[in-house]
Amino acid sequence: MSDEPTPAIRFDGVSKSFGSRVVLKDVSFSVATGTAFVLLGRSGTGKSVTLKLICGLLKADSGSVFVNGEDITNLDSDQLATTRKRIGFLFQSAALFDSISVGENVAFPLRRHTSKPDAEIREEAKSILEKLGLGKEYDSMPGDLSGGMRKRAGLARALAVEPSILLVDEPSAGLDPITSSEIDDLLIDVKTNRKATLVIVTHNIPSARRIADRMAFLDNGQLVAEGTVEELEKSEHQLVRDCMKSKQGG
Amino acid sequence: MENAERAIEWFGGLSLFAGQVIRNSFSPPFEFTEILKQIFEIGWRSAPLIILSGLAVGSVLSMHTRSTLERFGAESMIPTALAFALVKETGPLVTGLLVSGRVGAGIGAELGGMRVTEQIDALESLAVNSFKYLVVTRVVACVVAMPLLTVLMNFAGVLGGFFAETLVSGSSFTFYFNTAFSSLSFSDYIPPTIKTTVFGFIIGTTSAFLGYNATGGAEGVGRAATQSVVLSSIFLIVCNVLLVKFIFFLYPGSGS
Repeated sequence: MSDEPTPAIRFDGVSKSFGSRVVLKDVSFSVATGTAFVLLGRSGTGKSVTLKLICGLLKADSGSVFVNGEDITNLDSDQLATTRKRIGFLFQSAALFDSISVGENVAFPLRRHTSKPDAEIREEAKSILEKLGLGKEYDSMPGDLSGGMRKRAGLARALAVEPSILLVDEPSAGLDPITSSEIDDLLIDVKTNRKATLVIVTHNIPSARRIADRMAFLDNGQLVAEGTVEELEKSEHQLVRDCMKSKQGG
Repeated sequence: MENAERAIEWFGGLSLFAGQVIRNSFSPPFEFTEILKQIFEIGWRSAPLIILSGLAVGSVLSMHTRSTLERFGAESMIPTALAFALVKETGPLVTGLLVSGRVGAGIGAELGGMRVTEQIDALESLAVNSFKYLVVTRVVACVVAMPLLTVLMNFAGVLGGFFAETLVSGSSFTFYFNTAFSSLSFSDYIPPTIKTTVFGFIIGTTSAFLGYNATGGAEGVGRAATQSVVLSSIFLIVCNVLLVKFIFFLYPGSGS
């Protein structure tokens, strides 16, 4: 028996196709608990699919996905729901429910998964929003928020049930550099103070450098490089080295 | 050939979806709060449209019935004829078509919008069964709301008929309603009204299927909304023919 701690996430030879389009080919990697893992790569190389596989929103065609040591590829919907309660997901578009207020979006998972009284849930949701600088937006509708505010509200909802794993899809997409940097600060805070494991998909290299403990680079559905920032800078793949030189955000 | 294959595949998908709706309707957890909310959205918010349409349909039917029955000197039969026409066929069918227009488009667009903006994925990521929460609740609400809206349409229709008739003949409210409903029996009233639960199931399931599986951004949402109305209306009309035959088979006396 190995004494190594169980990684929070482990991909073991995972492949995924949509029709004839192969998105992931035999991908394997692991993410240690409490660390931030950043997935890089061109658009359409399977980064967002990887996040959805971790959350069980998509099912791998072959291979296994382990979350906190449990293979989730063959779980039924009830077992998957139990696993998902430990995972937060910040979508690229924030995916806030547009028929309810920002506060109710944050309160939603608390109402579903706790038996706390309504007043306590509202207080908790307000407190989470305040921590993310959205204290005054409890009653605002998602459509009335700016892009950065929507991202923060999405992060607030994802953090409401205090997940041990946070999946983040393109946190800086469509945001100005200042707002993007604020989102990075929040993610670093989640990792440092909440001790959560982060898996982040981004094209923003400066942002990735700030947050990541380890990085991986996907190209044509294959993991071509994995390691620390320094290791990726010295990668044998030209594409990876070029990407790491990028100063561009967003 | 390719189109035929695609059509068979589509109907297969819809049938499996409908089966999943039925199975999930009877297994816990039951989303009672969301079902009540949807009954309010689908039923209560459709009520003004149904009442207004019922009044219009009833008054027009009454005018046509009068012009026909006058030829045979049978004007006193107008309330009865109108009530029979409304309760047995016009009420359920018009209600079904109105609801498929208003609610079908709404469900198709709402679920389609949620699908393309990843809100359905967000629900799943929050450990919520999106099928139960979004689809089953809406279909159940349609099934519950349809008979209630049909009853409303029938009464509004008879009331519309009364308004049209009283302007011509000056008949009293009590006489008109007594004559209208005195000839109707249980077998006249219940089967066509219960039939509308099937209409509700068709509208809810078809539009939810199209919305829940929408693809292709805003264009896909628009397509889902349009197809929801068109297809649920067609299915409803075709199904109505079969159900009328089925009702005649179960209640042989209801045809006379």
